[in-house]
Amino acid sequence: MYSYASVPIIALFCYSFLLVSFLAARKNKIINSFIGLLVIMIMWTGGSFFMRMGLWPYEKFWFHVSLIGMMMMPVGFLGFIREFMEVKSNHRKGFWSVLVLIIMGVNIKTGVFVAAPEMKEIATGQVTYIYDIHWPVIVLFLTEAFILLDCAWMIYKNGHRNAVVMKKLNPILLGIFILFLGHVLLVFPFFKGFPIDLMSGIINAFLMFYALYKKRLFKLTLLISRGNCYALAIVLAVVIFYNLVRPLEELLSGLFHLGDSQRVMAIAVLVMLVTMGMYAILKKFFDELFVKDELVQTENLRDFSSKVSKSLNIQEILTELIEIIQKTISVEKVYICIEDDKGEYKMVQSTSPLNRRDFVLAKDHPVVEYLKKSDGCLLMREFKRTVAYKSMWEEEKHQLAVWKIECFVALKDEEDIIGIVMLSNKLKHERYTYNDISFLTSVDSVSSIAVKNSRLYEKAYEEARKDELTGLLNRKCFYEVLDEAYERFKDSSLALIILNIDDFKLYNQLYGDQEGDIALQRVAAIIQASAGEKSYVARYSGKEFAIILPQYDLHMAKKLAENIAAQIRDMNRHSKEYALKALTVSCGICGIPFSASNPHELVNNADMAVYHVKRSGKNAVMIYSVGQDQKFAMQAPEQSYKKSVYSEYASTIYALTAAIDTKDHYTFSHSKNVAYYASELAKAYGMNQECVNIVHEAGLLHDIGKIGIPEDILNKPGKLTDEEYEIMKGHVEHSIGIIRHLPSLDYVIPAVIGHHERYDGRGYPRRIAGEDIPIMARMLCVADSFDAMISKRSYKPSMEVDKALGILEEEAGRQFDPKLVPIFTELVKSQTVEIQLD
Amino acid sequence: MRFEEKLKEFPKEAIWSEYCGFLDLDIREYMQIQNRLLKEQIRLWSSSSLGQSFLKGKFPGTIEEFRAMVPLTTYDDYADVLLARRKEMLPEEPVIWIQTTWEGGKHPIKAAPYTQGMLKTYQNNVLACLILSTSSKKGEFDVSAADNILYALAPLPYPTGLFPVALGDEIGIGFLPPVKDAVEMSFKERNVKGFQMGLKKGIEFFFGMGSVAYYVSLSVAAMGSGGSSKGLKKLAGISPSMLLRLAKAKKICKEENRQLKPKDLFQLKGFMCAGTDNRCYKDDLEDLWGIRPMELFAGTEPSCIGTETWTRNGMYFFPDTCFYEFIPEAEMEKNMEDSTYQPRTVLMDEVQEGEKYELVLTIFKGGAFARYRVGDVYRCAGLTNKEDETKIPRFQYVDRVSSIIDIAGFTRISEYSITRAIELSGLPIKDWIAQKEYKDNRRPVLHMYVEMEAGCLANHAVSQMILKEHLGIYFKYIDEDYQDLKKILGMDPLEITILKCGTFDRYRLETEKNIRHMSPPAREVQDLLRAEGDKGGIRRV
Repeated sequence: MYSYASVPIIALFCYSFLLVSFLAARKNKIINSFIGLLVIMIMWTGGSFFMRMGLWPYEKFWFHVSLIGMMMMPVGFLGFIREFMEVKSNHRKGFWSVLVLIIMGVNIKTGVFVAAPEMKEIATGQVTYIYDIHWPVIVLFLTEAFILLDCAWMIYKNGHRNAVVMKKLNPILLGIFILFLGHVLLVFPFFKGFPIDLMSGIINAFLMFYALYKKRLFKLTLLISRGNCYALAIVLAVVIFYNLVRPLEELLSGLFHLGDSQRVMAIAVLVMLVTMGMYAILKKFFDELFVKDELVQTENLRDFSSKVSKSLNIQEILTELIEIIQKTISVEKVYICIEDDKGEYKMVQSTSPLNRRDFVLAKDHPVVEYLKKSDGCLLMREFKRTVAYKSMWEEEKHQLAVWKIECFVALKDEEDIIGIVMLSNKLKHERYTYNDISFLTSVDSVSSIAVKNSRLYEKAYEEARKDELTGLLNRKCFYEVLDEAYERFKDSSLALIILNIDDFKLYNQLYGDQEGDIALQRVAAIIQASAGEKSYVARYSGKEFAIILPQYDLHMAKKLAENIAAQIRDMNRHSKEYALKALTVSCGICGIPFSASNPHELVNNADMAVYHVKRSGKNAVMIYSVGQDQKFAMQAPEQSYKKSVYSEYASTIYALTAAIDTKDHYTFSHSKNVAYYASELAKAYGMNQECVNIVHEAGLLHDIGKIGIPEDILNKPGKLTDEEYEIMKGHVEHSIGIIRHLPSLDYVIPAVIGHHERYDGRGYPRRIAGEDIPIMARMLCVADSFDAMISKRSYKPSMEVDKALGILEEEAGRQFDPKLVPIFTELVKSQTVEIQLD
Repeated sequence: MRFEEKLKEFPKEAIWSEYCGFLDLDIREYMQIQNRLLKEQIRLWSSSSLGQSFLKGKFPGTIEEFRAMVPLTTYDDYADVLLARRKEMLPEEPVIWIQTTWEGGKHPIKAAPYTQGMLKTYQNNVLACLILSTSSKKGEFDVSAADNILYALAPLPYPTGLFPVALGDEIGIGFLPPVKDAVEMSFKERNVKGFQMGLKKGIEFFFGMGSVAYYVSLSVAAMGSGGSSKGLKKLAGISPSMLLRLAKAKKICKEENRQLKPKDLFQLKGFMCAGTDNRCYKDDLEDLWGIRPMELFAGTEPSCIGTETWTRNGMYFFPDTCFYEFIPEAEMEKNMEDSTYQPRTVLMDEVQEGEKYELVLTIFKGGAFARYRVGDVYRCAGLTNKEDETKIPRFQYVDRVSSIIDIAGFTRISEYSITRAIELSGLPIKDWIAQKEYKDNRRPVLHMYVEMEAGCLANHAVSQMILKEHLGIYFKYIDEDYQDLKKILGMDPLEITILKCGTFDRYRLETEKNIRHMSPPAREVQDLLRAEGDKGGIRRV
């Protein structure tokens, strides 16, 4: 049975191999307890083996080492299982350790429990050990039995209601059972001489190793160190040559007639060569088995980093991102959503161009919310088990299920998510592994930076080229594009249209800057939509737009300009709140080579054409031609604005104000006063007569809606209740309701509707603020408040003019336009404005 | 993955967090879920024919618009669509229709559609209840596929019948008796069979309506005490360990000179009860089974919407079942006085501790009901709870709304039912009021205060006994649920007090107003009794 001597060597080697590997691993309590257990097993196996080998220092020493190892084994298991099951209570491991060590101490000193065996040579020349066993040995058995019972109780107590822990513990329990079985089988004659106990120890160690691996406490790659491969190669070489050295010697002396020293030398060289070969094979084998995927991943990642770091094109980066993910972790489909201006994540790239592109993850989407709070990847199967998943819509769940999304990766810029990569199932329906997640996290950090940089670049590029309000090209870019277009199309044709909005200052004064901006945006949208993809549209100046039209002749350009002008004229026809004034444009057209020979001339001539249109009554399209101006006046279906329209309706206005007079005399005289003050303010502000007249009419009509307010509220002597005040506030809406039925007076609506708005935005009815309130409304507000303060009303006496002016100054910037208040107070103080006390 | 597999696969913390994680939400996170799911429901409901029948061409874009455009609704508003099961009008195709009795004598049943999404949510929430019922502290629970549940509730198509179906898909818990057999059995047979099986297999869970659970518990105790040969024969086949426990229990009972209680035989892991009037039975049930029942709220229209926790101190509403609105008590009263008045509602993040509210629900995930007055009143027990470590409001069930008198969760008596019973009985009752009261042993009763026609007293026998018998018979005639009260629970919940002739007139004269018939405010009842003279004897709600 001597041939079985290799079993303890193998056992010892296995334990040592695991020990060396785990010493290099990141430590925690479980790993430490496993290392402790390995040391105990090495003591047990090694002690026994070295005793049989009769190694230094002496056999008795190795016997006690082995016995201590064996006795400590249950304590080791107790500690390991306690850590494995994460039992928090302080178990009796310390007590048992001390007890066992004391017993062993006594035994070393006295041999009372089991003495060291006596060595005896038997007939075959082999050595056998004779143990002198007496009854005190039962103390050892009992101690071991109690420790094992303690361990069993701990497992029962903490595991019988926890299926998860028990499932993970199963390999360890199986290992212990095999270990126990190995020792029991020793007594059967069939196994006599075969170290079945050591064999079961090896199996047990590997089962524990497996349990730790399943618990994801380490990566298998930790086994593949260069040192481990060398050690394994040497051990295998030793085992091989231990068995082959004699036949080899015979072969060398028999076949080649080599002398002793030559034989030794040859065998030594052979051992070295075989060891090196073994090392190479083992390294390759382990690399293939464990490290290959990791190497491929690292290589792909390096490749990806290098590619994306060279690009600032987001599409290129995303294409590379999809490619590397598909190549490395065999994902069937990849979808990438990138954050847009609204903060939503819109799908911009996917593995197939046929996938729907209208998919959007809203900014409050639970996946987005979850990814914001967590790092790296989110597995769908884990997400489904969170509370956040509860707020998913059924439709969203369905869409993700249809695409078989299994993993989300957030592309993060510090705390902000700039994009989300959605990965479908893997090709062989495997689960996403720990390695996949690590890889995706690495890819994520590389691509996040790349995407962020490319977005910043694109944004900066866009900002440098585009007009913020309209999204069209800006003036600087216009010249660049014009120069480029000229170079490309100078040999064919290039036309330029310049559109200038007529009376836009008045429009702003009537409706406020906010409405003005909206109008500019709508005009820009009309031009952009009409010009087509091959043309370039720019906001040339505040109210001027330019269209560069490659390969257009003047006729085609004129048709386009007429079309655009007609659309702009109709633009405000369907405005909701009140009828907005129709806008018109004056257009100038010039073309290369027809009437200009270079870009500079082209722009100048088109400008000239616009100038001519403006001079000839606006609202027309004109083509510039050398030496002869051609004007193509357009047939406007309706005149947009009649300069003196209000004078025609003076009688209507007075009829309306007279109507309020019969109900509430105060309001009538108040309206006249407000009209006076406001028109004087408009004059002083520098408005032309046209606007001054509008302000005057608006002043007369601003409180016309009070016709609809019950007289008891209107003339109530005391303070109004909240409810009454709400009714009173309705007079603004009533005013609009009355005026809107008189289409020719609708130009006063913006001023009337805004006269109770406050500069700080706390007014009513629309709560708009600052310059968004039409200038005329701001003027009415000053005039209205001033007159209200200095007049006597049913619920209050009149106020001193100086005091009223003081309040106006105090409220400048809050209730009133701070630019208008000084002008108005100056008018009053200089007596340019006469105080109306009627 | 089924719940049963999850129990083997994942640690307890993970399972707790998946099903009971909503208890860790703060109110902002809770409202985030509520608002998000409501947005989905607004879109589905508004574009359905059912939704459009309320919205008349409008489409609310926001939650505020939805609350402004959609009036508060009751089952009457849906009856034509739902009773005819017109699924083409619904926001989403239903998978199953659940039904229950509606209003005795007037509408036999009401039906509610359940969509796939609703059922999945229901399933998760039922599992949360199962987990919580066994918990003794946060994160601790004890559920196993080998457990058995004694189930004292009605089978499908009643809403309680959904419980075993939903649970059965997720975990192989044994129902005692098995659902497929229970459907064929009478109530009594089910109890006997359930108990017999419990003796063989053990009972780990018990789920029933508070009142029914109490009745079943008494039956179990009686069956266990039965020492006759017949009783023993019935119990033949029980496991040796159970026989040992039975013997031990009998010995203890003899020593303590008391009846056998279920707790002597079974060690429940979890005990759940649903329905109304649970508070009347909870103490007794705790005494009988050794653990306090955990109350949960489930209804026909909304499915399972709330549960208590290990502290048994107030219910939490699941955030993903319905959108919750609450009508404050003052608004409820205003609406009682003037049915055309649209009461104001507040949301979960606006409720006040200690206030009473009527619940208004909008069912998520394609449900049919929007801003639906489910007819239950809750009291907000607190906005946070240190004991549960929760930061969301918790509620205690108070009762049905005043217009309905619900006895033991079995019957819903309305003004119509009582008027009809009086008419059919032909009794010369001139005026009456009815309210729910609790007898000294904390059992609910329907107490009617009646005034007889003065002119008829000479020719009619109108003693309290006769009135009780007469009206009782007609209540049973028009309301099957009322009949079941007697049949199943052995309860006769009607109490009659005859008021002196002229009491109602005197009341009207003194207060210059009419007293409402159903559950008038306590102060008004006192005034009425004062007008008549003290009648005492019964504690009023």
